[in-house]
Amino acid sequence: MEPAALLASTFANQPWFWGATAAIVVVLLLANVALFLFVYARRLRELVRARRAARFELEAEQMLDELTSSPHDPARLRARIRRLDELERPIAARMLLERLGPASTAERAAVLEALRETGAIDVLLRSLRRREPWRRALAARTLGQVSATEAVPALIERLDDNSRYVREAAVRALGRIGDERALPPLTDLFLNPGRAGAGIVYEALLALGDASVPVFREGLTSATESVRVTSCFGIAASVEPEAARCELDPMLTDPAGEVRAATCETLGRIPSATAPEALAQTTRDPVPSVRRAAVSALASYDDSRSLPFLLSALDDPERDVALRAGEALVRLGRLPAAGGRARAAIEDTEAWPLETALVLESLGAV
Amino acid sequence: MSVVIAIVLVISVAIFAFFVVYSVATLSLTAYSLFEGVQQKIERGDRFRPLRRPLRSGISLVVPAYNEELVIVPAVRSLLGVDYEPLEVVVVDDGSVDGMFAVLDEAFDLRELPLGDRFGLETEPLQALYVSAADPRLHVARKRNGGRSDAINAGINLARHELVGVVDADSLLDRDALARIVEVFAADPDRVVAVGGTVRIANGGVIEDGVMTLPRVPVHGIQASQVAEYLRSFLATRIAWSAMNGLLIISGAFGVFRRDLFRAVGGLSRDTLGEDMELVMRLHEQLRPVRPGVRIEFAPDATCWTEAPPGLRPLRVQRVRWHVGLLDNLRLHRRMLGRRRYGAVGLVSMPYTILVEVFGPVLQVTGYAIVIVLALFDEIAWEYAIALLLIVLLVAQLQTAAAILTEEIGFSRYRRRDLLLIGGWGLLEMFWYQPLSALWRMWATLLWLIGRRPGWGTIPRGAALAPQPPAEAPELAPAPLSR
Repeated sequence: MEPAALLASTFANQPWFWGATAAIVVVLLLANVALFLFVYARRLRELVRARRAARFELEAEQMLDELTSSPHDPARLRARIRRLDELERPIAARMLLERLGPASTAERAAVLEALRETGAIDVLLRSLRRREPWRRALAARTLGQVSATEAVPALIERLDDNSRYVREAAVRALGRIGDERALPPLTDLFLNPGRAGAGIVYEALLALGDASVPVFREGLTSATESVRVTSCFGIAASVEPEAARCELDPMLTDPAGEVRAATCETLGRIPSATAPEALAQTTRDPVPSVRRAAVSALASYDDSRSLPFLLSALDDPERDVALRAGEALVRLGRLPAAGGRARAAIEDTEAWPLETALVLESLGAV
Repeated sequence: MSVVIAIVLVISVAIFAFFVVYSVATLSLTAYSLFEGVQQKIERGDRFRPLRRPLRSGISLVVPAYNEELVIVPAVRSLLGVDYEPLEVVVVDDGSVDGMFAVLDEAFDLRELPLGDRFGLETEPLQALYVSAADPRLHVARKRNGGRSDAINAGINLARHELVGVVDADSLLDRDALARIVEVFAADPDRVVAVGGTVRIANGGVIEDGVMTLPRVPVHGIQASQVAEYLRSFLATRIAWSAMNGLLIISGAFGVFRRDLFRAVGGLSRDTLGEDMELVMRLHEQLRPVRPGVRIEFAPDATCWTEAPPGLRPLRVQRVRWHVGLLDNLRLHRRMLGRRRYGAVGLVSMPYTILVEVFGPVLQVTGYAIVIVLALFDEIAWEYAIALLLIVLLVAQLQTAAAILTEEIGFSRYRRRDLLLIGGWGLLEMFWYQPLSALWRMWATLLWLIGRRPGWGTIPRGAALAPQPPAEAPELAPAPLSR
């Protein structure tokens, strides 16, 4: 038998072969056509929507002007806001957000009042339950920007949203509103990370002020490294410096290098005249990133007792630590109390990290 | 004769079986990518809010460069113009013999720094180190030529931030590319160790102030086919691989890594040609047994624009090198194959890659050879051949269409006519680009089998990245409303 005939007989002569082949070809063809049609239909729809949006923006501009000016006609605005459709609502919300960006607290309060009067807050609260996550997130963000306290329970509910993006928008909004009712759920999110970015929850907690301090304190003892790291920053940012130093000092012996490094960094943000002894000792930590953070932090303290540690760090086996030590010495040289001795030490020392730091200083980079 | 017939028959059946498995696997992967891409879009809309300090890490961008005189200045300007801080750019001049250093010096007013010592990763010796007086975030190192991996390792030695990004000198980043990549690290700081971005073809596009303002599909077929190919590769597969934590590669043109881990695993290998893939596979192999949750991710919205090889010859050199690198890496890390402790990497990605990338070209070329021989002897079963060709064509086109749809829904970067061009070139490439590519990969396989190493070759640079005025007024922007 010839190869061609043999090949053909393998499949082509089977009764099912051509039927199956035709079916596959038709399905693939239809799928291809459908995908391309979808692409072009979507593009066309976007074009139409873009034109409509451009028209609506002009109208929305006037509406927002009226909303933010007084006096205005709440009944008319209420009717118009109710009529806003799927396309118009997000545009109006974004334009409002843009206006609120540079607004003062008093202006925000006036806008909030006007939004309440015209029923816009109710529309936004309903939007928190829309199907598309981005719409829910946009509503949460808008409610946060206007500090709508009545939205707090609904926003707390959104902390359990299926979408991480919505959860994070709700966290940000709750932080912006600053209502203490948000503290327990935010605490839960902070101490059990994974459902929202730790940094975002951290910012929201910070916005709650003193109420968040116990949360950060609890975070320092968390089993999760990233929670302890963020808590160090929280303590440094929300506790009075002297007390913060006392609370952070023990974290310099944390088993995790990342936590020790974060502790050094935060101690560097709350400087005083006296460098903590433990911080100076951390310049000999076995983990390079900790030593690096420690030498940088020491430069924030106007304390000449740091000098031997920094000079010694110039010989650190890690290049980056040595470079940071050089920069720290140069920065120390600019401080009033320790500056004289630091400058003298710089003049007496020949080390390439120091030379590098001096070049960078001449360029304004240290 | 009967032996020949039997062999032809066995090969034909093998090719058919391969094709069925390939189609099912590839279309599943494409569907998964499309689903994930659409989900991301539905979830986030178009709005992007970058994190603020102190919640985000600093990034050192390492730019290995060899004889990049024509493109280095716009590339560095583009990188320094990225909306991200703290940022540092470390250009490593890997022993260039053109005027690259001179143009850098002229553009950025370089001042010499002490070279110092204590370099963690072993590299060819550094000769000099400079900082820019115009923008001290820029450092330039000159070293003896040691190849791309060596240059990157040298740059990592000099990098000072917690995250290190590797960006090729012939590439431009979108302004928000780094912020988007860092968002992925920030979302899961305990587990994410590396993130790659999308690489797209810059050829043909309009670049203003180091930013791609209007991407266009190039007129030249070789380059246009690469646009379609990159779109498929990144948007129709990597989104899925990333979702199942099975990424085997972060493209060398744009990836960001945790510096401590990059160093801890020994930096980039200098012994393999596919060093970017090798590093990712090594990270999987070394980290997953000790940190089971570790993730290597892909950020489809973080975009890097790169210059594609403009002609057949440089493209062949590039693809042969890539393929030998792939084979090296699969052999080097074969220990992960089929093992559960390596998750999707061992159970899905590696078997798929071996099937599609290793056996695929061999079977493809053999299939072409059989068809040609049978046609010469007038022995071809035309109905069967045409049916198979039609299905192959439609499957490939479906993958291109899905990539275009993901692009359209997620990013909308191309004009309407460019989408049509991408689809058109995707269709045409079946008749010339795909066979050529298969042939080159087959050749690379032979070279690899006999132990021959292809060179890096030279890819002509500069044409795509030079600022160009738009040839015509851009189409009325159909930007998504939510942007």
